[in-house]
Amino acid sequence: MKINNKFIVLMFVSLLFACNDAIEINPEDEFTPDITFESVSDLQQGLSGVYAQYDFENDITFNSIFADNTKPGVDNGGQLINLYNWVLQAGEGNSTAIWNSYYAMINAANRVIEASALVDVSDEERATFDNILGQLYALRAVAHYHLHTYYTTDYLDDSALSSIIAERVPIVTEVFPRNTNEAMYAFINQDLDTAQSLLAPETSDKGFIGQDFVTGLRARIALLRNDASGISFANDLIAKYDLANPTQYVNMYLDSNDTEVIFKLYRNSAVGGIWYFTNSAGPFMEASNGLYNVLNEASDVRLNVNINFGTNNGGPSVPEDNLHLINKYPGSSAPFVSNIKAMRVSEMYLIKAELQVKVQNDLEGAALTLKSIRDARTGTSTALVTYANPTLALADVMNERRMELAFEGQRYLDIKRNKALLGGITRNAIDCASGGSCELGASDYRFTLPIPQVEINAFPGITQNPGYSN
Amino acid sequence: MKLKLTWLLTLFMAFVMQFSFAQEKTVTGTVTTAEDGLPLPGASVIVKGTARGQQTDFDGKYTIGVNRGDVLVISYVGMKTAEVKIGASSTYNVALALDNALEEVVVTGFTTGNKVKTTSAVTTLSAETVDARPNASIAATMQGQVPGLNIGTGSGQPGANSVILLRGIGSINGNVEPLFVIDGVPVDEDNFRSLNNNDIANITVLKDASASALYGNRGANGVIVITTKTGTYGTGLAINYRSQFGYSFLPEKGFDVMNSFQKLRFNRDIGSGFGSQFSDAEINAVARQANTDWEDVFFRPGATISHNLSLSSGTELFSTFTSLGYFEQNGVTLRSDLQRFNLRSNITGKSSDNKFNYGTNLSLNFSKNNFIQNEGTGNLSNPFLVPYVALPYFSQYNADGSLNIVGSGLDTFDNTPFTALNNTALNTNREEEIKFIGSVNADYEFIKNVTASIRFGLDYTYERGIFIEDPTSVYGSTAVNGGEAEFQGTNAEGYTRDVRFNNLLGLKYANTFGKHDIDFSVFTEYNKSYLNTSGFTQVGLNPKIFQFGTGFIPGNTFEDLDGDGLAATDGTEFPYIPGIRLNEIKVGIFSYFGVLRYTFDNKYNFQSSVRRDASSRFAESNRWGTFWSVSGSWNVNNESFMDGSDFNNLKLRASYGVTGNDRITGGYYGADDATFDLYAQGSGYNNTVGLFASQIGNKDLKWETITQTNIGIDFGLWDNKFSGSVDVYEKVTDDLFQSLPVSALNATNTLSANLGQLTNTGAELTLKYQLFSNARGFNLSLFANGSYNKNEITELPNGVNEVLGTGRTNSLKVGKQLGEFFAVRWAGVNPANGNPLYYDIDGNVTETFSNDNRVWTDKSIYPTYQGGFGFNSSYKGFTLDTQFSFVADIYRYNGSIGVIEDPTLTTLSNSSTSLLRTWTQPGDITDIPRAGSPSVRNLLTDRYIEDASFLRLRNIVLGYNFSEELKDNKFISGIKVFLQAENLITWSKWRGWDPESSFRNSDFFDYPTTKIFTLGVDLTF
Repeated sequence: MKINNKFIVLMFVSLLFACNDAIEINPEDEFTPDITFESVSDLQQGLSGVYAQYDFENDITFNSIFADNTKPGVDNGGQLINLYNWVLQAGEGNSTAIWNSYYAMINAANRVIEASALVDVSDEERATFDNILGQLYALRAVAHYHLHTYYTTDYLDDSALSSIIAERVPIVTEVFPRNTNEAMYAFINQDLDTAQSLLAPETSDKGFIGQDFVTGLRARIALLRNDASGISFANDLIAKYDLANPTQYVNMYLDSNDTEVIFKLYRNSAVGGIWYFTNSAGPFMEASNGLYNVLNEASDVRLNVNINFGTNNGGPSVPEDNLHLINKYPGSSAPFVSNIKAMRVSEMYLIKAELQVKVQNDLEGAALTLKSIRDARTGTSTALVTYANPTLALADVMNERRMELAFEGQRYLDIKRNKALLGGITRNAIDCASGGSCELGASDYRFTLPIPQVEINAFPGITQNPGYSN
Repeated sequence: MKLKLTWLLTLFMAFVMQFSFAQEKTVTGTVTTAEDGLPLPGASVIVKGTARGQQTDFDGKYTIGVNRGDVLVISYVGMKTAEVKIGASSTYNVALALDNALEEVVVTGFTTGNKVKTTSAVTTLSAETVDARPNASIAATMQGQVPGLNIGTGSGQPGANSVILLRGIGSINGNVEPLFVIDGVPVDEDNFRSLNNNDIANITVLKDASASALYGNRGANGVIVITTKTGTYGTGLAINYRSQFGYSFLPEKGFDVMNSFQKLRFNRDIGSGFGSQFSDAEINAVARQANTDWEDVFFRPGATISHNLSLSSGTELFSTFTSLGYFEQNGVTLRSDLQRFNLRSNITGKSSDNKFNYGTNLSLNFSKNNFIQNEGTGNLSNPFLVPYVALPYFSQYNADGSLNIVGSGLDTFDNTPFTALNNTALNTNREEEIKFIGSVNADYEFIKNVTASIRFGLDYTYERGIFIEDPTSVYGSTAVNGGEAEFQGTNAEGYTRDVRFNNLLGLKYANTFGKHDIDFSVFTEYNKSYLNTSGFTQVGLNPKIFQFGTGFIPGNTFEDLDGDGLAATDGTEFPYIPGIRLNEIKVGIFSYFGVLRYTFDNKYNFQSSVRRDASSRFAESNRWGTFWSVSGSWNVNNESFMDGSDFNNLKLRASYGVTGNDRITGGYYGADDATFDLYAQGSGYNNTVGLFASQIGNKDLKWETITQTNIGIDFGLWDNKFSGSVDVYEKVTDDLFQSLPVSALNATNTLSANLGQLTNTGAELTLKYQLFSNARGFNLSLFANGSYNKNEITELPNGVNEVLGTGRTNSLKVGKQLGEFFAVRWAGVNPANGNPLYYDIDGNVTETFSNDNRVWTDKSIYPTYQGGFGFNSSYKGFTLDTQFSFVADIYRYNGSIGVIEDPTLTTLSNSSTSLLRTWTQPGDITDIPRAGSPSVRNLLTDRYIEDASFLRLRNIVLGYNFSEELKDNKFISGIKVFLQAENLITWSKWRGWDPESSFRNSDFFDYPTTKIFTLGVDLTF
């Protein structure tokens, strides 16, 4: 009987060996959470992943197309036409992209922040570690700031609904209601405080977030809330950064001068592709006649920076034929591949001027602030303007802002912020000749973006913004 | 030690018997069939308990030395074995009776049972129906032979894979094909090109839950069990040589394109394109100069050659089957072929007390497959597209009469046929494969009625993919920086090693006492598979030796593309750096299961099985799943009240059970880690490495569950002269693998999860009728099978009623079929202005196309009806066998016609002759819109949805058997010659070449399955 026993024993042994070997298979070829973030340099790579998901192109697209700085281009075969015609509902792709990409960026930041708690940090690494963490909190704050600007109905009403605060990595099936503006402002400020306490005192590379970016973001938020503190935040940066002179200004958009840059986003893909078929340099969207007229009237360095009169990139523009080629991202290493100037000191001047009008009713102060910008842009001393009333002063600030920050992801939000005082979107008659409407009234619901359908699919109970059917 | 001793003793005894005691005497006799008394050549005559034996000759005679008291065992395949005790006589004539029960064996892969006692819905195919077919794939030969089994072959590339559906489509995103098991080894169901169909003994298709639940998490779509040939114990050496030679041809097609005259006149009529300003004389001059039918250039008859040699023999305790095969088939277009070599060795052995059995099945295969490129795509190197878009007024010849493979040398549209020829002639797209399938098994009855068994199996596939673009070819010469760099060409190879281990241990108790017949088995099964892939892509080759690494331009070679003398910082001026890849995926299942079968009085059968499967796929969620079945059958014909009835078989069956589908994303290695949270490294910010979350694991993930109910009847009348079976079933798939919407705060909008339900209900029928049966005269038997299957989506994620997709067939609605076309109805051409017309959702005619006007068409890409029929006949030495197959209520979008009827392409490419009916003036009633009207083919309309039902004479074989002529030949015992045609005639409304496809929703100049004619010879020694 011995061999019988051996046979049976053999069978049982192979059985036991077999069992776990077949079913305990870990994905050794993948980065599982336990091995992904083990050191400070891993966190650095995680941070790189968060920056890489800062898709500010979505903002540039929406703000330029949905407002009054663009018109359909000569090569348009339907690209962005619906967005241009203010077709906006919960399923619309460009607004959905804003929601998705900022939450993806926040999710990435939260993952690295949560993982950082488990990383052993030596004393030598401490400063690097803190600086990484500081940037993560600042990135999380700025993503929430962007979401807030699009999804709240009223910046000044603390009880109005903003977007959703995402302070941790969710459990996948969790759904979240929207938070109030008050909670959102508190959360962003808290993140900025944390960031400020962790970030290195100085940054050498303007492609990465430093203390000044945090200050600038505080100024932006103060502007939303008509908070006078914005003036002092702006002044801090105005004291620190010079405005670019005309030559520096041109070079800034060729990526060779950072004089007035507070923060820029490095790019190696064609930002200009927002408006162009980049292979053929054919424009499917062009600068609007409305914007061109404003730039042409001022006739300073910003005309050439915004409108292409060169022979590169499909140029030159032919204003008499209403051909206005957008030139803000001409490309440095390759055509249309330019860094995004995400925060410049001139914006601080404009924030200061706007708050001087709206909070301090200091019309002369506002005029002086604007003069600084105009002097820098023309390279000469310009005349000081006198305003008859605050509305005219605000309109002039907005006009300056339109020229200064064209195609930098601000226009739609600027109109939204001041629509109660200055009205909604009014397009030049030539710009809207191709169809669609020329006016988007101040009370129109489309100054607040719809909560995207994809979010409603996950959480049918979420509060949609007024005017949108699900 | 007992076993060893017995073994030695047996051996010793054999020697002793043979050498010590010479046989006392010699007996002779004739073996005949009991039915008609005719001699039976080749019957085996063995002295019981010894290895001594021989075969009867052509007159059924034998002569053998024996001792008085010996027992002769006389056996023949298909006959009942007889035993004769040797007494005083020296002549023993034996008449063998037919054994109808012999073919009635049910092999499930784990158990083998008598068909009388089975409770399962199964169909068994014998070797004759698949083995001598000139088709390279085993799967493809099964078409139309099994009710409910749909085989869709979407390509005429020799050795192409088929999509196999059993009882409808049971999953939306998961695997839909049955599990294939060859000699107990689960194998890749998508790869049969390397296997030799001549080795197959039989194929068993397990359809209902009672059989497939034995396979648990892999049994949801049914199981196909293939058994290869083995030797027979106690037979002499038999050698068989089989060879075939023939050609394959393209089938007829239902469309035609213009010739030079037609094309140039058409261009003039519509006023655009080449020649639109030509006079009659100019048109005639150009058209006379060149009127090329590009089909003649790209297509050819493809030669098929095969040789197959097999040897089988057996002693009383040992048998072997050895085969050697060679197969070569050229496709009907240039550079498409398959070449393969096969080796097989099957060995079986047993101990003399029959308690210990063992066996090995080994097959080693090598195949070489050359492919066309971009099959079924709009890429201009697709040889099935080129002849229909290439312009007929270009000549295929150079001035010296040789074939022009350069044309203008540019990759422009006019140059399409020349570029495609250039690519075919100079470039390489090849796969070389080594496939090994082997298994070793043993069982031992170590206690009376208790048997332990072990089986180890291996399916090993090694594949080398070779893709080379010659640096001097049109494509190769622009491979690096659009042709700017000094060196050009591409050489890429990919290596795949796929190893699947399978280990089965079993313990079985079987006993019969009184009227009770019971067996009970328990098993554990271990499955583990490894997929290793690697490869490289090198661009920049030395044109002298571009096939090998010696010609690879080093990666550190600096190419000053912008001429500034400096290397660009982004690496673009080092274009020859090769790309490399390396990956491994592992999946595994561990299971234990038990089967209980009980029969009472040969009348009432009961079977039950339970299986527990742990899958590595669900390691972090639902690791263990339980699958089970219960089934029963009633042999009504064994009841006393059936005595004297015409039924020799009447059986009612019923089964119910639950199986699983753990391949939730379809592929064997898919979703291997879907329960894990994963990160990936990728290009981060500012050209640094970034880490990104790449997957959110679903911690609730599980297999798809299929619950199947089956009721069936098997019957046989007049000693099985008329037999058949009927089955009805309902198959419900729950926990379908689909997308669950989740909050964007997760950095994604959907998570794959188990949601929704799909139901297949259907019926199947098989009939067989032996019309004439006369062993030496005219024989004719008819057979037919058919099935009906209705597919219905019964539940969608989150309780919604409808999910609209952006494609032709990816919209889902409760109550509709999976794969149903959702399209805007085409309303023809407006006679007033020649514009396309559509119906809106309310049925009003409109010129405006909108996806909002889509309606459900009740037309699906999966068929409702399927089946086959035919006859087998013989008269004296002649045989004529046919097999028809049909598929009905199946639809497909004909994208090919869409292209050649596209009015926006007429200036660029050739067009269908149907465009000669183009609308030209108000009042024209036609089906072709005006010239210059917008393209319709890419819109979601039903204009090109066509009925792809077909009836096909799948196989016809005329043979002659030289048995009469050879009856006195001692050397050759059999010669058969046969003429065979595959896919000879097809009846269909489909306007392409081939109504058959792999259940794709659209055709686009796909490689059609071909007609194959062969002449074959079969020699037995």
